[in-house]
Amino acid sequence: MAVRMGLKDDCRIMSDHDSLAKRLCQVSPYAGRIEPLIGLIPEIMERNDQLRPLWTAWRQNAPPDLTPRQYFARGQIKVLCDFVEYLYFASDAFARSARRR
Amino acid sequence: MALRAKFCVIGTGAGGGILAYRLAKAGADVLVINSGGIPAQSEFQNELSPEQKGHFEIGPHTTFPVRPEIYIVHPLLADARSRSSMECPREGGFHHYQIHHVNGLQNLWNGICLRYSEDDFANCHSYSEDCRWPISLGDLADHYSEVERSAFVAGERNGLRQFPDGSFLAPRSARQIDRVFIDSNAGSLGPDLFFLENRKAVDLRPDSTQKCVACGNCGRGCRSGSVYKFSTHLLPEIRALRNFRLLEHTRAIKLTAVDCDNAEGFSISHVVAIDERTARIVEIEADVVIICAGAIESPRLLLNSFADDRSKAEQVGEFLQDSPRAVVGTSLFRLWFRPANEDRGYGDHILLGGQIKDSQGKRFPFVGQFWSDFMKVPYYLAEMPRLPRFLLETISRQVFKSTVTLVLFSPAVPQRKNKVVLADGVDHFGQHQVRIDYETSEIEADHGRRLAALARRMLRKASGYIVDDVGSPPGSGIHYVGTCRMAADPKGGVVDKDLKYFKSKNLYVCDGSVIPVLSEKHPTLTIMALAHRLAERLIKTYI
Repeated sequence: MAVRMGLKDDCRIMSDHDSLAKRLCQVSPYAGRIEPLIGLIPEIMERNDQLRPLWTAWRQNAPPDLTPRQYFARGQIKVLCDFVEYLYFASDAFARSARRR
Repeated sequence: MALRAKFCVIGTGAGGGILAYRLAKAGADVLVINSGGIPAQSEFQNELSPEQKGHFEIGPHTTFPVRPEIYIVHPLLADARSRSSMECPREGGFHHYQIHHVNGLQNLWNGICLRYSEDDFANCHSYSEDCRWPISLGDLADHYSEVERSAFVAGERNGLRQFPDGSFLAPRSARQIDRVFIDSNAGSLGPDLFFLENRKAVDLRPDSTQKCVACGNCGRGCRSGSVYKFSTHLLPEIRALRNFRLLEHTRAIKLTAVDCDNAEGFSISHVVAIDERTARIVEIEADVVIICAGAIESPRLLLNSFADDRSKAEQVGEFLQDSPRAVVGTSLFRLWFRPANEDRGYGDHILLGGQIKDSQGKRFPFVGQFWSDFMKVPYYLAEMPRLPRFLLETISRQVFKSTVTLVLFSPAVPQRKNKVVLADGVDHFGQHQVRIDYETSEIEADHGRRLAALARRMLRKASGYIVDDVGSPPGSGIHYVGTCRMAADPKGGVVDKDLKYFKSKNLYVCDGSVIPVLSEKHPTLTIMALAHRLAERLIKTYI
């Protein structure tokens, strides 16, 4: 995936993003089920009109001690939950892997 | 910029594509203009690209929650919203889907090809005396055959009066999920129910390189190049011809009319268009102008052009029709715990049709399609909050492979009050938008209820025990017709039986808008056949 194919210098940044994305996904009860996809989430959110502002705000402004539910408004939380739930169901292969765990 | 052509074709949908192709192949000087460009090849491929797989098809315009009532959130459609020529529909109003790209709405066509029957042309099931076909099936039969051959329609010859046979390639055989549905319902719903295999414009020739995995209506755009489209099937053949030009990203905004001295009405001297990327005006001088912009855009262009002289656009926009339909989804229990076969992708291989009774006991025809796809979220389970979450999730995983949708259509009821009118607002290019006044008739609502009940019954027989009525707001049938209807005389319509605008000597209309009465069947093949017929007429007259 493009997100994984950056220069070596990007690794630290990507890793930070992964951890931010992981925290962001905690908004949904499906968070544990999509852990293998965490690395893709920043890029997916960046390229979507509805998700980009949420990701940008979270990446730039979210204090480390706040959870997404404390940081975002109710409507935004709903969008994030729908997004995470969609990811969970979006791939047959992923659904199988989720079933195994 | 000024251009000149013998024929100026506006739009490349079901009508414009066939027309442009036939004229160009006949050696005519053809200039085609189209809003938007040619869709990327990635829209028509069999397999998702690695990037699409990686992104789980989440595009820039995907809107969450992704739910079935907005299932046609294809990037092409979403893009059109920002450039819409229609005022935003009011709550519960008519939803007009449009695509500003070459192929128009045919970009999302699932390829169903049904000929209109003798009864359809004879208005046997019509609910309006104001709208009547001025031609018969015999007038179109040869043209149906021609377009069926060029679009590679696959199907089985059934010898049914309601569904006339055509020139078909051999159909694909029914899949496991189709067999479950057919076997469950065959013989149990009376002699008036027919199953038809395929009848779709899918290139199933053995030597074809464009193979469908499972063609059809995925609801998010066709992933296969094997379903007919102008840009993938006909355009490559004519693109290099010196007598053919295609102006992409060029939107017609006005026709310039010149009154004639004799009784022939007015003639169109120029088509005024705008380059969508540079905002430059393009003036096209043409001997013959053919509008093929669709049942909403064509009246928009005519009403905008003749806003100062409404007599030139009498009856334009009236009698807008869309297919009333019932959409019901479920998961077939018999397929639970079974491995899905490889052919379960997007697609409807089975059509069904027949007649049922309305609440007054009067019989009306219907046609339907049974299609299956991978619903990303098993939506109907989400509507069952009483079930514990873990149970929902467990069931969801099991129903993942067995989700089906049954869509049934009935004939439209033409009403003069359902119409496209000029609105006060302006679009992205400063042109007046249109507004759609639309009200579903009581007859259509009654038919919708009867069809929904029938659909639920059929799905239950096939073991779909939890049935969800997806709903079908006005406009979601995406079979827009009637707004420039053809008629035997000027009192009865806008264009004559040869699709010539009654009030003009060199203006033609050739798209869904000329269909006077929308039967229960999908109108696309009929639009294509009408375009083929018009092309032959124009070639004889002008070349």
